[in-house]
Amino acid sequence: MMNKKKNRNVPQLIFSLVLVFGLFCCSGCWDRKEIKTQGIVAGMGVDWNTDGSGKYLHTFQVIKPGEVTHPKSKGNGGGDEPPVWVGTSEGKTPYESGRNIAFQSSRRLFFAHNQTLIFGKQLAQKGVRPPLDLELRFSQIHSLELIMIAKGTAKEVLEVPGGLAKIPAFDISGMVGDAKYTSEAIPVTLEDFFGYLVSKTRAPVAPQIEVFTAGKEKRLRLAGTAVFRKDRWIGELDKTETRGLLWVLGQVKRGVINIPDQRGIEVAAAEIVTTERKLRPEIRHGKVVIRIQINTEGNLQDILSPQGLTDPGKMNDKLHELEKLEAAVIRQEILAAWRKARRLNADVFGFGEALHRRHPRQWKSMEPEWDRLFPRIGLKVEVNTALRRVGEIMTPAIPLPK
Amino acid sequence: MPVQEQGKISASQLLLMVASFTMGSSTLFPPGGGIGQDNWIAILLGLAEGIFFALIYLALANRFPGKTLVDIADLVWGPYLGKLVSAIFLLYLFHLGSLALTVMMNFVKFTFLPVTPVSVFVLFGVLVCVAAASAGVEVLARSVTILVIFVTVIFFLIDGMLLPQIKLENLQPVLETPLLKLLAAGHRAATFPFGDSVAFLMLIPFLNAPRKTRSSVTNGLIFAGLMLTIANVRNIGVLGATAEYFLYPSYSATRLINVGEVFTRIEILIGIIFLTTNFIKITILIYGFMLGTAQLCKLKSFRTLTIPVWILISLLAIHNYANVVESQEFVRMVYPFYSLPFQVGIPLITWIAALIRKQPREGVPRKP
Repeated sequence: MMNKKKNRNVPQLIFSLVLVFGLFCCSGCWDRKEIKTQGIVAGMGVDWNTDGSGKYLHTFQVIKPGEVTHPKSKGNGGGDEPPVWVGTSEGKTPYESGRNIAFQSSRRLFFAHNQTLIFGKQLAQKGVRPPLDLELRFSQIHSLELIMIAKGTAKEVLEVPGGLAKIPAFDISGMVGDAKYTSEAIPVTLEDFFGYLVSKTRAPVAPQIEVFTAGKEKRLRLAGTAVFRKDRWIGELDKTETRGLLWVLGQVKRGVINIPDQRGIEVAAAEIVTTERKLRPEIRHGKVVIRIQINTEGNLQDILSPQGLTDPGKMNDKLHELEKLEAAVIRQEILAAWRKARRLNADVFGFGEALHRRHPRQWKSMEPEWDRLFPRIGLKVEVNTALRRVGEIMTPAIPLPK
Repeated sequence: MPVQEQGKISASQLLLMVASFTMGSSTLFPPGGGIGQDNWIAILLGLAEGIFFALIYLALANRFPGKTLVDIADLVWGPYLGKLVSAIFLLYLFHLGSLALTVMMNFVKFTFLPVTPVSVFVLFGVLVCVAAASAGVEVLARSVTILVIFVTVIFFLIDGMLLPQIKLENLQPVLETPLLKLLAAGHRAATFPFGDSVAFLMLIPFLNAPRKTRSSVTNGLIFAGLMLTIANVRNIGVLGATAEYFLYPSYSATRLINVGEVFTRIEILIGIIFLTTNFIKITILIYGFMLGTAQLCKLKSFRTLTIPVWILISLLAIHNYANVVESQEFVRMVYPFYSLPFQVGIPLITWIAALIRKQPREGVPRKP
């Protein structure tokens, strides 16, 4: 009996050993990635035809491991070297141009932690679909990376040294993240942009970034919003128009509203704290009317003309007056965006999609001639504002009347 | 009675097996497809049609309690024609198993192991499947019970983490698809995966409470159908129109998880779900094939077939399709028609023939 039991155990033992061996084999022998051989890409950019050769140009900003991980161990020496390496390679197709970086880099590039994807202006004018197609197919790329359009070339953007963050590309993604405090730049991820591209009517948008010089240093800043038709750059929205767009999209988070009086002189500034947007497309007698209602609450942050505000009871009246003026400002922002969109004939707001969802039957006949219909949309904007709080002092800092 | 298998499974175990078998490959890409935001309706239609298919083969199974399809075919069609019918059915199981394996292979190759030769993880992956299958139906049922809990928890974890990104407006306008296209997508969903449960004709005989067969199978299908509908609504809600473009929408949606910048890049979760449910599907198909072949060839034990099936199904999975597009197009375009003779044809005709021949006859013992 012992013998029989023994015989039964031997094949099981061998079988378990095979499985354990399989464990070693399947833990990625061929796909193992040693950190020492990987170059972690923080940001990448694509340009086209910068030298007239008609080639795609990939620029990679790769983290230098040594420069990041030794903060102060070698005295001040660590900080002098830039913590990233920027390499550029070119090729006739986006994929080839990206792969050609292998001639210059000693490490295999690893893209899973890439933060930003920047397209140069020339490429944007030619069409961004080919490099985007590559990004969407490529398994290492995450769809949460941010899409941006450089006002010049993507290469020069990625070559600007970092500011507050050690890695310049993380600075750029941080900038877009912080845009929620002004709501004057629109964050667009790869997934968002993919959604714009596959929409039949929607005009894609992406934030623009530009290089400027402060003293001797080169720095980066966000500069409005690029507007596309299909995958081609056709124009841009400035800061105000961008916030107008964000109001319509319901994506305004925080921001500053300068409140001018009737003469156009700023008398106060308010902060946006909460916003709510309602969008209702209607079809009346064959004409499309979009009703937008914005409800926003904010705090008063600045009072520039304090005269007469010290009397009790006056402050409240003034606040209500400022609320109305603020509503007018927001309305103007929305209308500015709408005028620009109409001029470009680009449905950046997704009105077509909203109509499609709300009126699917009528939409069928409208869709083919949306280009003709879009500029003729009637826009009804209603803005309700409330200034709830005024900060730590209620009356302005002027002597109180006796 | 099949002598090759003495195990028994309970009604709830059968339910969970049907459910996880049906979720199978579909946890990765939704059943139906090609109709955008209305796909979840197609899944529900497919569920209804799939239950109708199930009622047909359940009628057959209930008429011959304790008998697998191979036994039944022998009884109804006689020793020669019966063997032919059984062999065709068993080949279908084998082929479907290799198809599920191909889906797994393409997914793992694309996402996790792009450089590793496919034969490595296909061979080792199937090794687990054939090991589980040769352990018998009882072991299989018990492991499925554990795995289903595991899968369900992760499934709802993913749903919860994606909740902030689900825009229900992406599902509008509802019912925009023309009826015919909707029905076609529904039929695709019915054949893959709901109708695939016809493989349970090889497992139902081992249920210890034959009266609960029908409710177990249909409830299992409904459970899986609802899970797949939730997954599809989630995918469309998160990805919108782009869900149609991705090869693996569930995977692409899970990649977008970003809870406070902490819980990101956890797409491996969808890999775990898919590999688990797909493992169950492949294992049950392999088990059905092995047991049926053993009965067909009157082998003493179906375990003899473990190694040959291991090698053969791996080879078929690796070499059957030239590329990923071919396998996907097979699932979308060919499978809805190809599968009908097996999912409906064989059970229905056998059942009608049994009705006409008034089988099973009482008191007539089966020839040894």
